[in-house]
Amino acid sequence: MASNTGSEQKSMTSDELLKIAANLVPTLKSRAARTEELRRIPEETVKDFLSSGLNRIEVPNRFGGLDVADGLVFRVGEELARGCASSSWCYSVWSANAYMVGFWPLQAQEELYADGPDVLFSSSLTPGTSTVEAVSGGYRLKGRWEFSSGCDSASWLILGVSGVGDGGRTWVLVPRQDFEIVDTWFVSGLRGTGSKDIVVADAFIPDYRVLDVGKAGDGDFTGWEIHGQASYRIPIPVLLGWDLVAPMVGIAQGMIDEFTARLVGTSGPGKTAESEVIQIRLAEASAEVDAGRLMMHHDIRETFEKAEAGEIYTPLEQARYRRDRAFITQLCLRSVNRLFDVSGGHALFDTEALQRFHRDAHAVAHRDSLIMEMGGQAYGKVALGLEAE
Amino acid sequence: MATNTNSKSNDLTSKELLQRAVDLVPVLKSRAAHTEEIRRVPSETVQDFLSSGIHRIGVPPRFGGLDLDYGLSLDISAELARGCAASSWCYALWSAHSYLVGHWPLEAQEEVFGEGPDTLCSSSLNAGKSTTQQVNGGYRLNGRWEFSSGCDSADWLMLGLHGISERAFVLVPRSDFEIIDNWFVSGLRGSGSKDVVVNDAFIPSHRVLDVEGVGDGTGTGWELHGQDRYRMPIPVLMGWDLVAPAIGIAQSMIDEFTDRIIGTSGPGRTGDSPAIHLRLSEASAEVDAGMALMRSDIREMFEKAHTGDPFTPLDRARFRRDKAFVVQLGLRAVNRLFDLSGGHALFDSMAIQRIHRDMQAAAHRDGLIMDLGGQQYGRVALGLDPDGRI
Repeated sequence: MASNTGSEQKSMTSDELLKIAANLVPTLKSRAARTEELRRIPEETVKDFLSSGLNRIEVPNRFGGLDVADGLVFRVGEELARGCASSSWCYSVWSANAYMVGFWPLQAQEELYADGPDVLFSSSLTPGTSTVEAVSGGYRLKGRWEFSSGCDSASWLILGVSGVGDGGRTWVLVPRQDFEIVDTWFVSGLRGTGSKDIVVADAFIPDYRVLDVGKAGDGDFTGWEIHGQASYRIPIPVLLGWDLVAPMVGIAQGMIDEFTARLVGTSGPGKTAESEVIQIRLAEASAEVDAGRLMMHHDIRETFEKAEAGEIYTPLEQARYRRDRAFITQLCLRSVNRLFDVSGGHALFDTEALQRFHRDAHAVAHRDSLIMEMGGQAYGKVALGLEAE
Repeated sequence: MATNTNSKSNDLTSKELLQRAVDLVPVLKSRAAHTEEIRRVPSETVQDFLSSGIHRIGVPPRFGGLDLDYGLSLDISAELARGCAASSWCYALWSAHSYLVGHWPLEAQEEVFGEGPDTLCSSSLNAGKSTTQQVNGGYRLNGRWEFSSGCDSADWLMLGLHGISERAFVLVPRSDFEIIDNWFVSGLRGSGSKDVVVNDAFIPSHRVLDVEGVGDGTGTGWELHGQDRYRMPIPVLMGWDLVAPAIGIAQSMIDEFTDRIIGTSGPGRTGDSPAIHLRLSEASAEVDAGMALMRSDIREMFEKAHTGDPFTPLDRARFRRDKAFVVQLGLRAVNRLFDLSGGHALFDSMAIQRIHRDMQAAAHRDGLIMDLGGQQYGRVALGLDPDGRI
């Protein structure tokens, strides 16, 4: 991957980075159709993420990351999605993975960042159909995994496996030469994410490339000891997932922007700015997105405040963050549908951003954890005094 | 009305006042059935609002008010509604009216707060059926107005009318109005939102406020009090006093529903039911989202007022939109839980049915319905001029 291209990046402020993201929106928008066509993020977009410093927001400081405001990465993800949902999605996932590798033993982290901070990590965290065999000094791994967004540009993979240690969730790090990409990504939405299948034929995984996920940030404080950054005091399931919600909020905002831009200045009978039906739909849809965004910002702020204070996350809080990720996604999905449904026949053309936002929003909301019946229900259980599953 | 009963209340912090509101919740709850029955806020509750100091958040500091963020009064309203919706509703309105009085000419303010800060003002701000006649030094007023929440405890009344300017509010002392008890309703029974009649009262000019343009940063309120709330157009700040109790009512539904089910198990409508879990998750997320949106808007409004930034038509339409949206989120949450709360929840003795009725009543204001209160946002966002009040 590209080497360190800008040594002055260390001094970038959060405001500057947000400005950079805002400036990238028209660029990403102009590449959105081609990104779909390629079914992966174009090289020049990857380069933009790296050279602008945006990808370094989540790289640990000691490896050249930027020490900026907590949660900034989600604001950036949100902003980028207004231009191109797939690009925002991959940016967000690459960043989340860059943050997560900071939980591994130092030896593993040093390998990943040996060539500088501009490394991209793809992942497939649900254990695929894989087998692991304990050998001297580590494991031998074989298997196949799905939905590895942004894998074409990745130098390393984080893979979920089962059958290691005491049977909890385990993730392992696999370098590019040890996996193959199988191009299965022919889909209706988020086409540009290139979330393809991954095959590992027979790779050796040294012990230090294995992470017990349940303990990271929650008993195992390797990340906190190495980096001293508040985000490493947060159990992984508390923070992970917002990287998918942030692009969703941005997609829904992109829909509002696009819908508004198409109708401003129109008048007369029919589907125009004068229509009360349109006005009410727009009011409702925009309030849904604003509410979702504020709730997300509020939860993330609260999460980091607790981390800074060294407080624990109660089961009810953990369930609430999970609930909110699903709830916000569904608010945004309703908002997108609300506008798409009245956007007329012209909005259906392949050349129109509206239909792409609509397809992309549905693809995001097809994650089990982002559906209220699945991701949200545990909150009700815990609130009623029962154990979460 | 009661005089200043607690000379130390000027030193109260926001945190202490909020704690007092929290402490009042079980008290209000224990009086909620009685409050419905008498169809007005009981005098002991009025006394609690006054002696605790929470009412003084709305009162201008020069008249003994507490110089605290007005947003605190809205947080307190939301909190009080967890105990009794009608009491919270009246608290919020009395508080808002104390702030509004600060826009009038000083002479009128000195009349209203002449006896001290613990004066309550009721209102009916939609122009009723009234006639005004210009006379020497003021106007003669006749008319009838509806929905004057909390009027039984009020020393003054604030009335909306069209006869003087396009939209004016006038102040009327207790001796000049009569209350007609027509408040027989399905929800917010305890708010005593009765009709008021004015029979040929003289309104001196200084008791008239032309609402147009008030709060643009040049008016009496800002000059006299220098508080950010007086640098805000009235329609921007007003309305949240209804939204805060409404979202608090929705929170009380979550509290009540959870309390009833916690610890139950087995088949049916119990803590084990996935249907119940899901409804509770969805409803509580709706309420949390509503609260977050309300608080963020209020913070933003006060930041703007503080820096003297103008409120654009789109900002104004958005705040209006959000007032409706937050209430509708709360209403959906309440219905979602009430609908599966079972036959026992229907008994008069159960808070759940009252909360449900109160929420419907709160959401029956035109401005709090998305199709009516929200639509202007869509117009302005699409580049058109608003065709209604924002």
